[in-house]
Amino acid sequence: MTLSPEQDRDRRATWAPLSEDAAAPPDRHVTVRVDGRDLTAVEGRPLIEALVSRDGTPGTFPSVCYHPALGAIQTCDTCAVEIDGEVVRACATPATDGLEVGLGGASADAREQAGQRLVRKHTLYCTVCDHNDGACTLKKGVEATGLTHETIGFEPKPYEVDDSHPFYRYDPDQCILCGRCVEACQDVQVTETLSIDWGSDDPRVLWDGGVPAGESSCVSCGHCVSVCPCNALMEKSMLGKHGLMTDWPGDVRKLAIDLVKDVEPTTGYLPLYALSDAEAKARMSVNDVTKTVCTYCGVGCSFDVVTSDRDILKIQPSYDGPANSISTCVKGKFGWDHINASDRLTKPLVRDGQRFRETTWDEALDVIAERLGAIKGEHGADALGVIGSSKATNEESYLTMKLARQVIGTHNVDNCSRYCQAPATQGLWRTVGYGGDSGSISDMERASLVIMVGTNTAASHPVIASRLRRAQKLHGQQHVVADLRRHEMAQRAEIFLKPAPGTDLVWMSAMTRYILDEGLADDDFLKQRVNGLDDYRESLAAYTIEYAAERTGIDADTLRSTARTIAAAESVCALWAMGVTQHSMGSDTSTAISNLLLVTGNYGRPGTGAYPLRGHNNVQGCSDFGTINTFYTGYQPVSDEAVADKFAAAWHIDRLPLEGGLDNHGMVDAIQEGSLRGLVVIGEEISLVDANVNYVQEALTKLDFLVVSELFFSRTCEFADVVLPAAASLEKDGTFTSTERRIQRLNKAMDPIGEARADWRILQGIAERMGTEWGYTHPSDIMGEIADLTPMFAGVSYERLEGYRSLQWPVAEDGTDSPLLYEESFHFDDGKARLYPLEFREPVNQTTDEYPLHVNNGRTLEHFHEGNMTLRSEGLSRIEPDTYVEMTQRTASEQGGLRTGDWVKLISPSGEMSARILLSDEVADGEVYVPMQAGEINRLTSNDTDPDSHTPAYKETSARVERTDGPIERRGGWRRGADRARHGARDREDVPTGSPLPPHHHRYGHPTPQLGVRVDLKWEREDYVPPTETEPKGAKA
Amino acid sequence: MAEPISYLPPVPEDTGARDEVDDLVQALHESGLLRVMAGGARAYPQLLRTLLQSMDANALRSAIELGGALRDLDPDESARVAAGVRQARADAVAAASGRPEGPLALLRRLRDPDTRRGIAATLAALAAIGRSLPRS
Repeated sequence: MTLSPEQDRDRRATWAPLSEDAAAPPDRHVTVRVDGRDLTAVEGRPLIEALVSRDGTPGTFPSVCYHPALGAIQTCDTCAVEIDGEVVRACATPATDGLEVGLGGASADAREQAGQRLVRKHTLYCTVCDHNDGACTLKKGVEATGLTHETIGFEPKPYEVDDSHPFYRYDPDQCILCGRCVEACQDVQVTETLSIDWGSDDPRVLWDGGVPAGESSCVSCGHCVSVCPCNALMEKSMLGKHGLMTDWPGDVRKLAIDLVKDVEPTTGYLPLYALSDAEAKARMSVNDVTKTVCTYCGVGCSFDVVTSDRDILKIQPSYDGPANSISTCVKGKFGWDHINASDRLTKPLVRDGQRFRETTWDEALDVIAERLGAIKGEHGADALGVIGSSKATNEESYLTMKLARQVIGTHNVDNCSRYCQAPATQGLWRTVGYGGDSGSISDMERASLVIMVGTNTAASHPVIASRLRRAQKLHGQQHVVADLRRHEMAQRAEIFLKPAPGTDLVWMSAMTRYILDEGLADDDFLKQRVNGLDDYRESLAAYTIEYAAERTGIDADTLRSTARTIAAAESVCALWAMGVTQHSMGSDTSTAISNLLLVTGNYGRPGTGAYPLRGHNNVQGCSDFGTINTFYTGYQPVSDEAVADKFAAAWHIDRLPLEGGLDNHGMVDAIQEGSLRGLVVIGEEISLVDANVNYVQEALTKLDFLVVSELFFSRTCEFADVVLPAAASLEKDGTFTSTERRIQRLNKAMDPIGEARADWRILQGIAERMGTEWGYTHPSDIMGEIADLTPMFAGVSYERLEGYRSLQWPVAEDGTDSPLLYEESFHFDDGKARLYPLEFREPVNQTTDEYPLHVNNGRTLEHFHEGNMTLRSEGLSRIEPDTYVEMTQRTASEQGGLRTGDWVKLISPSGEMSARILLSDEVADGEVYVPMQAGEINRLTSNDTDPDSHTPAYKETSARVERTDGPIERRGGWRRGADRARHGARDREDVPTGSPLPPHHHRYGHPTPQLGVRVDLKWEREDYVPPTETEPKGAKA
Repeated sequence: MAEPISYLPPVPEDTGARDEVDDLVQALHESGLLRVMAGGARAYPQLLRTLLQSMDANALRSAIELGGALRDLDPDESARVAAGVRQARADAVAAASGRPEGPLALLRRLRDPDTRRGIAATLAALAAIGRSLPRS
């Protein structure tokens, strides 16, 4: 077996996108000959892939360290084969046509020897192991090596179990040192925390070079646990719960293991393999494995959830997941405690005087129908409104708008994209036609250069961030990050731009002008595919580099060199998020990004395009499926008479109004004005997440009638007349649409808690009580109706979305979908894109002497939005227990010598909030950052909006800071009963003290970057010999 | 006008155990075992009587005593004996498959030390058993 380090595969050379890649060349099949028999393989792919699936019988050829998402790590040696008289690793051998492969000679003994070395490092006690699900990679691999009796014997390692991490534990004695975890951490997630100390007498996996896992730079993405082939790294939620006998007390378990081990020399492994297989079958008949889609951000991660009744044992991503493959973030992998939180709503509630009382669904629905009907009768249909949820399914979004339009008779229907993504959609509608990502995550991976503007991707879209870091590390991708904060992606970027708040449009337009002026634009693309160049060019007159440098604070030379870098890049993707959209110029700045891409010819090719990163799991789908005041499904305008007639006919009503309704913001204004009197809110925490909640909460008190469907008794529920217990994502069927326009199915993993119901059932119940029978028995019925009415979704069906299959809209009737838009034409009548002239306006609420600090806000990695779900996770709350006011040492000095842990009030013209100080150099002087998870930031934000989308200018807020005197106002307090299951510092302690971030927070860790697992260092060890030889006694690697 | 009021959701009942019982009953039903068990339960007195009547205390005691004897065995020694028994079986089959050997041929076998060692061991074992048999 050749062992030179040079034979370690070249990770950079073999790089390919991990997410589903429409631009990948099609597989070319070749024939290899294995022991004289033909075997079909994919040319260039590792030979091991064909060998493990030959005869259609998995497990007949060993594969332990190899994983298709990780490539050939070459640490386990179990895949030895004979080629040209030499024993080599099948994982490191590309399949070629006519390749002659032998399995029965020296390689057979080598495979068995490799198996012996694995069980030297790992005790096979499968029957009482929580990893024994019938597909344990290690167990199957060892079995396939032909090992029947141990010849070396297990040798424990001199290390204790590392139990320091909130979500997983590492057992060195079970670790086979395959390095899958290291490979995933270093080169897939690219947090670069894990390594193996190959130079040690007793190698093991290390965190940050040798600190407890729970005190390291580990961001708990879970990659390492998900790819571990055995039980060395295991989710704590699995321990003692997965097997039929894995909950035995430790001493009993040890007795059993010892007894079996004592018998093993006589029986050999074969009966034990059979016994553990039988146990695995039995346990898997009482555990369920259900494919679902993540309920947090818009990346669209899909994975299996393993459950035992209501117990969520683990989340297991699949290589087949089209968006995420093996990847997850901490929330998707571990943040599911909200499903079984002890304060879930389980019964309908009705307001009864000054209290809520539990009631029956019958009474609740009767009250809703009666009150909504009465308001409609007295004030007309437009006195009512319905607010949908970007957490709900596409089918539920459709029914939300159907309830408003068909049953109530109003277009007053909207969703939370109004708070975040509407400006991005507006920018894309203006320039390219479709309001969605123009390509796929694989295009972001393929890009030569990625521009990230106002997006903290590592915290808000973590799996996309990992893809970008991987492309940067292994594929030479360049990153240009423009942000107020020097966050993780900014720290890793080749170019970091720190503009003055609210001035992104200026530097982008100046760069675009510079590119045009210097002849760096893609003239052919502009000529053939774009309209409006002359007018647009004229509109850029004011945007000189000098002006941009003065207004944005970015050095002129940096602007010029960055523009040249962007123009020279072969393919460019632009990503942006709330740092762009939640401004009074959100739509225009989004448009400016698209203009820049058009001028440089970066649409319609793999690796190019515009990507407004959608923040909720279904914020894309919620608007796509009609929960928006001006469109039916698939953005069919309500003003189009033919469309209105089509829907009226399908819904068996006479007519539908042709004028659009009120959006979220308009509805709140209308409540204040008294024209909107009744509101149905489906799972939206509007009283915390809308801007200026002081104004919103006041409005909610003025409603005649409010219905809220929720998982928990949220702040919005406090204003309700009827509260309905809703099912969570794991408790229902449906589909979500992710940021890359990808429609995916989620399947019910468990029944709704208590009497909770899925929102589609709730909406159907309300419609029925109001006199309209819908008659749906399953969400697939609803999707069928949508497909019939919507050209954009014509080919969408549940059958085409079975398992891990997905569709990216638009979807033709024959099922052809669209991973990459604009390859041939843009979505306008003439097929040409449009450059859109823009004029800069100064941001609102700029700093003044009275309010001298700019207040920025957003998410952190561990928490989602206002924290209603994530604060109910003990582990997430342990890592990040509270919000904070993050500022530089210099700002803190100027504000009276503040220090980390000091309680302060932030006071804006709209209101005030309290939090602790966190000193850091990730923010700029004079600017503070406040994470959203305490749900208080919108006490400070204003009513100002982007005029083109009505999206609030959340990011244009100024405040002053004061030390708190007297009692500290904090969320929690009087809500503690309602928020019983929350674990945040404010929920658990009277007055939390000290730093708001614990010292073990990953941002204080010290990663150990390297390329992969460094198997070359293993091969250099004196105690390593090829598996064709007997290893020296006492070998450890 | 709806002033905000709070609400403390009651802690939901933990139905985990009940759910598992339901699941068990369902599994027993689907496998047919539930029917078998129900029949067994109804026939319990008859089954018990039959079982007790058929029980042989001596057989039970013997099994327990033999079990105790097995505990004293050295696994390695047992492995060697078992291997010998397996070989003996194979040799016996081979010997039985040919023509029966004549008396002289059988006597010639006594020259083989392994054969003599086997006979000696067998006679020693028979003597031990004989010592344990009742004298009267």
